[in-house]
Amino acid sequence: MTTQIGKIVTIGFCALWAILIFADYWYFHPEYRMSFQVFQYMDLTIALGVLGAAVGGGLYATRNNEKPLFLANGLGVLALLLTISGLIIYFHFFKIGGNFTISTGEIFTYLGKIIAVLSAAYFIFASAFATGDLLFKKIFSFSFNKGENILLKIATGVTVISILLFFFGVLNLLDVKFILPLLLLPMGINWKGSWAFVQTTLLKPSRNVQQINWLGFSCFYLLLVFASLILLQTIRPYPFGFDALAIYLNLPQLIGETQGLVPGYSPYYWSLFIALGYVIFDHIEVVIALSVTGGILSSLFIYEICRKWLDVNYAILIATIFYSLPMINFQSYRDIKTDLGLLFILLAAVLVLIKWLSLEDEQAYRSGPEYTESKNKTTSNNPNKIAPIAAGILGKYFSEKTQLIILVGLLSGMAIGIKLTGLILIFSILAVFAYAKGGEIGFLTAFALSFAVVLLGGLEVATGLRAYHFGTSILKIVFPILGVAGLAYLLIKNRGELFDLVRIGMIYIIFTGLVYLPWPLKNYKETNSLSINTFITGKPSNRVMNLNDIIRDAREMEAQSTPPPATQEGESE
Amino acid sequence: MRYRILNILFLFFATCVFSPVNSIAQETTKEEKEIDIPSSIREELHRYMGYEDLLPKYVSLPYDVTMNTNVRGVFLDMGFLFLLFLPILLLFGLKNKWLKIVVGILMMLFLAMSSSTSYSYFHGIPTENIAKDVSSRLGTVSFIQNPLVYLKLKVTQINHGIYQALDRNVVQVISGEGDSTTYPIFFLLFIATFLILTKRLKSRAKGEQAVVYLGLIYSFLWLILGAGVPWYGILMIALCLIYLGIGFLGKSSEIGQLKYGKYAFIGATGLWLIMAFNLRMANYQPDSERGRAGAIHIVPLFYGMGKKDKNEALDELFPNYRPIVEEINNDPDALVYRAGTYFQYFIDRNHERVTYDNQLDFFTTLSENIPNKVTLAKALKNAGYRYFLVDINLAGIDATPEQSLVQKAARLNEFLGNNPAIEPIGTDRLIQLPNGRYTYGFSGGEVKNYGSFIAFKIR
Repeated sequence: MTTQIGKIVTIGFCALWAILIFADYWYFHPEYRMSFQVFQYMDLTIALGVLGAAVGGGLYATRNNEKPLFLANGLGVLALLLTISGLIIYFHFFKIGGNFTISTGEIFTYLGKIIAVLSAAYFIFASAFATGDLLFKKIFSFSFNKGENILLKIATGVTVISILLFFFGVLNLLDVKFILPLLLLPMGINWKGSWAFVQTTLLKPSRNVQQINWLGFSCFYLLLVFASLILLQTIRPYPFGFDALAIYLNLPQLIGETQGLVPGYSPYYWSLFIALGYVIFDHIEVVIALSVTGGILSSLFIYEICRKWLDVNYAILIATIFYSLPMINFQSYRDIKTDLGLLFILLAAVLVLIKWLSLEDEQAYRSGPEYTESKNKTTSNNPNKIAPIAAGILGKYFSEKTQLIILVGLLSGMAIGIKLTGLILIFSILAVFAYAKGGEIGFLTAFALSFAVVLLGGLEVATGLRAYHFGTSILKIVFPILGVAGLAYLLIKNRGELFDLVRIGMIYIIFTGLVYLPWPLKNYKETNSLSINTFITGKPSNRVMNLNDIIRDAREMEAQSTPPPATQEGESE
Repeated sequence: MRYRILNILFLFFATCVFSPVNSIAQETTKEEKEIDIPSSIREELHRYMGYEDLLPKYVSLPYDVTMNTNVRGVFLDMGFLFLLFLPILLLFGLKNKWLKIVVGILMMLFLAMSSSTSYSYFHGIPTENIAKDVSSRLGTVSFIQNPLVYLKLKVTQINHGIYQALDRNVVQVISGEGDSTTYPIFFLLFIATFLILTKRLKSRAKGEQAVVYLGLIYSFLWLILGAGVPWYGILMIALCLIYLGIGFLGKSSEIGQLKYGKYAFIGATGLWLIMAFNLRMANYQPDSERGRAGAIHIVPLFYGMGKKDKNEALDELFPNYRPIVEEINNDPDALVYRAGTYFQYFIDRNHERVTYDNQLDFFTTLSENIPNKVTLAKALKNAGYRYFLVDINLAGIDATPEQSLVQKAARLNEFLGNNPAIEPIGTDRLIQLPNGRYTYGFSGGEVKNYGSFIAFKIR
């Protein structure tokens, strides 16, 4: 009875909280209220609804077939995307077209440009996949499922290509005649893997389609509508958005113009990668499309991570919610930054980390008292699961877990090489390793040490936040003590796990550092300064105004223009 | 044994930072301690966190980031699902009723503190005027007319009362513009949250727990390092969504097993998707007739169909930029001083030629040392600078109490205007001449569009 009352009270409180938060959000965002009042695309919405119902109905009718519908593949999705785009163009034109007329030819011209831009972006990501696939086959040996494999290989390939572009940039060789072969080479060497990529992403129907219900399809369709609205706006000759014009699309333009690395701008692996749009195709539309793909790939990673715990329809729902967020849309179509590219790499690192954790759990289970051979059932509700591939070089010497740490390190190095905020992930991953090996004490120890590094390194000084906190001089002593105390406890309680943790941490940091290292070296070469700040942030990204020289010059001018003091009578000759 | 050790650590930490060793630092929270932050960082970066006292600044951050009251704009909008569901997810799985009560009380205190400061920022009024403002707004709206707004205002009245008591008895005692207690409080909250999560997740596999702790520490580090800028912690958004999905829709989720728990979540997300779609179709500008006309900007629409070429697209996107850009690029050795504006991209070799000074720090240093504006202009010319590109709305982002950027912008205006050494060469300010024609200019007619930039040249 008491439990029942407690449950009712809890539910009531949660409902109250939900109502209060929603009421506040509605109040502080009057634009949502207004958008309902001024909604003017009912005709488009109905047309999209009819199209969605037709496609959804077709999929539903064939869901029990032995094989999925033949158009339930990438090309089918592309066709649907283009149809949605065509409807959007048509209905938009009559609202904002003014005195212009529209023809079918012009709509197809627009769609043709989208296909061209998407093809260019697809080519680059196919090359990234081929590169990553080569690495996975020759160097590593992992047992990810099909969907995870594709995404992780793309992420790894993007990392490798970005590093190579850095070195080509140092030599001022970012020209199509050098870079195009660089992208074609892995596709040629790994033509089987490249063809498999094309088959999987474009040609082969997906078995997941047969598990999709009305919820999953509606969400997927809505995601395509958002994606379509974004892709339609990649077809433009100039960026818009303050940060895009000043930094994030300006930098790829400068890279394209100079065919080399641009001084300053801190680390910019992602900008180097998307600069391929200029270097190879000399079109900003491809640059934007590459940047936008970061958001799409992030959604796919969210889907794959959710699939570990959720069925396909719920996973699609979560991915759609992500892609519907105004912040994500804005960064995709309007003021393009690098954060979606960064997120794509961060999620890749998280997915690999989850795999490592699952192997840790499995190892702990196998060495635990409950494990017996007869209870060891490997079940999978995921039809895309594949067996581990033949061992690459590292597979002969290192366990899969160690290889996973190396991969997490590479991806983390790429993350911090895109934006320095990737450092937050590095501290977080180290804390997760510490939890896996040292339990709660390990986690808190890692937290204490992370914060000690933050304080001692002055990491929050750059954002001006240190100035508000008066007690940091005490905390600079407390946190290292707590960290060391935690380590001492772990050493006493479980030395083996602590040494394993140190080993894992070292491997992780080494590979993170290796990928990030080119940037501090570049910064040192540009500034000849060994100060930590300039080592990390490098030369300013704009023309530095020499204030002292200007002030000195002005004072000299003023001194010259000031008449000499008049001589007194009697002193003159 | 494990929890005993954790509790001992918890107490040790709490003792350390609140002990007499720290009392000297604590006493200084009551003194006026000078806080030395470069004004540019305070104006540009700290606006995301807000300018209230330190403790409420951090406490209210999750709320501010959700409600977008410190800085408004769609580029910050991440919806309401996180703040609505994450606390519910935490609360629901707790078995210990006293822990539930404590967490529930903390949630309400958090809401009380956050909603008051946010209300004050949203309406641009000091917190002491909130009660009066709410009363007057309540007089103009009824529950029948607008239930959500009415409810919000009523709750704000209650919350403000709680906030005032908290502010008087806690915030003003232990905090201020700066203090030595906010960090320790948040560390303790972090540890407490971690301990609660360990109880909450103890039936889960260790790997699954670790994924949640990843999000916990990542979010905490963002709180400490991110200055309230949401995209600095973008992984947080993805992870929190994943947690919501697993927590409400997963096979072993407690809420999902409730009869209507899963459907409530799906219903709320469905509502969100409808809202997000609606707002997207108004191009995120429903208040502007031109802005909301299309979810696709007119330039890609026309350019994509081949109805406009590159120059026409540029003129549509950035009116009257082209002549300025052509002049600057035809003078390849000239350096450019830029304060705001979108010109950077269009200037050749801009990384070598353009100095950007969006918070006017360089200019302020120069003008303080060289009061004579003609001399300053000449000195800049001698240093190679020929052009000034200035955003008309540069000081619009200034939310600082001291209005430092507004003052600096006034100083820049003083320098540029009525300076015989400088001439204006272009603007996108649209004026209607007496003969009815429209032109870009500074005077001579009625201003129809205030514009975004003015370009100057040193004679």
